[in-house]
Amino acid sequence: MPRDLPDYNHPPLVEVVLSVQFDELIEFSLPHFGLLWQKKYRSQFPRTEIHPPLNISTERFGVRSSSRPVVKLEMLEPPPLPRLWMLNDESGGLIQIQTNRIAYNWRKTRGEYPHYETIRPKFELALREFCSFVEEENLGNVTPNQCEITYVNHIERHGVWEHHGQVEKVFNFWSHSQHATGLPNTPENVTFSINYILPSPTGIPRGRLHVSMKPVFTRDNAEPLFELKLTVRGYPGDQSPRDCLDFMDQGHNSIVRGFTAITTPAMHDAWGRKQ
Amino acid sequence: MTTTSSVESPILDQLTEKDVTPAPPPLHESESDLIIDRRSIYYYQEPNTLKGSVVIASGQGSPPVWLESVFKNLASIAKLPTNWDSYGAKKISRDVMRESLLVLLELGPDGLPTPSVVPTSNGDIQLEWHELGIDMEIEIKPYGPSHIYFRDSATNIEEDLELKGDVTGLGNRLRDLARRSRG
Repeated sequence: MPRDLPDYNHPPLVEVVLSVQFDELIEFSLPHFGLLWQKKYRSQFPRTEIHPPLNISTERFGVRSSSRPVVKLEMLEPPPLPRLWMLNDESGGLIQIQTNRIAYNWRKTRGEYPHYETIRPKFELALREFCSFVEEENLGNVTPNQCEITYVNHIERHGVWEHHGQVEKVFNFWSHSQHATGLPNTPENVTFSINYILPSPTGIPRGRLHVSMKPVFTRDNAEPLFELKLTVRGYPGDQSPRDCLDFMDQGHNSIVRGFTAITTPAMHDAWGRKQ
Repeated sequence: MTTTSSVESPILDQLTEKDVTPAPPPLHESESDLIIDRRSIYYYQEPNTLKGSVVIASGQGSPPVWLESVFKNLASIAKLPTNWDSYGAKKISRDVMRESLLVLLELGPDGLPTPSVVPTSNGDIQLEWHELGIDMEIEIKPYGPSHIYFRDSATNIEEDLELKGDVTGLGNRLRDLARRSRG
């Protein structure tokens, strides 16, 4: 971790995802899911679930339209393959596999966030095991085309804010003039979504940082929370697994700095900012 | 990604939330195989077969003139097996087909002529136009357009561009082609 990267004793993180999207493995078929689980992951991730596959998600630059069209292809033959979840309920670890994506999730179950330095090697191992399986079974090559790292935060009140209208107490770019004519003093709630283009060292866009926030309530006791999600997605340089890890490191850096930049010192204190 | 159950409004981010809206039933059927509902969601289902493909796409306003032709071509390409050229060609993946359609819907301006949709032996798709003095070829990979060749005999402009996410140049050339087509 860079020495000047902000760090917190009790960050409000509830979920972290490191994910690589790759060119679809055409030869990967239904039996391979079971074989993969048995050979590579079952001892550490003993529980499985089946989910529908996700559409591909690719950053594109220079598009003028404000809304992206939706395209869905449904083919009856061959039938679509699922997304396999392999879970370790003790650690909160989850590996997700579909024919064009692998993801490692850390989800808060108990205890504190173990920090990126602990999660990254787990993702690296999951990716390495997957690549070796694909090679052993002659299923082609894993050619990454997008990398993605996501941090989901649930921001509690910590005595700093009381209700969802007090966005300015949590996010330092928000100001609400009490003297604004024609508007009540505070909004009932606020939702926002901000995108930043992340350039490569040569200046060419390499990815985006997506920041989104929405007000939510806890299910058990209806406590208000701000749910803040930060995602960095973009192109790995030379499409190698090594480059994917570099991308994750840079993405982590952008997310931590971005999180610190948009949140207030009062919240930093509540989360125990160390540097 | 997973949902987290502790909040009333659950997290549904890009890894759990399907980023498509469930297709509503069609409200009317046209005489062609292309079906369009009032919300400008276009459907194409291959006729007379249960093993065919259903292609669903959404756009704004009237469907572009090339849409039905491209749908039909993609539905045919979907059925190509591995080694379809008998020289070891790869099967064309759904991702490549989806991206081909997405590029046209996202970047294709009004008046864009109908492209040829050509599968390639390495598993990609090439969108091609050879008309009105313009030769244009777009190579589509699973993550989107990767390469563009453009030659305009009227202006002597010739370009051979590698694309990596930035489609500004591609959008410009598609607009050139559409302008020429509109006269």
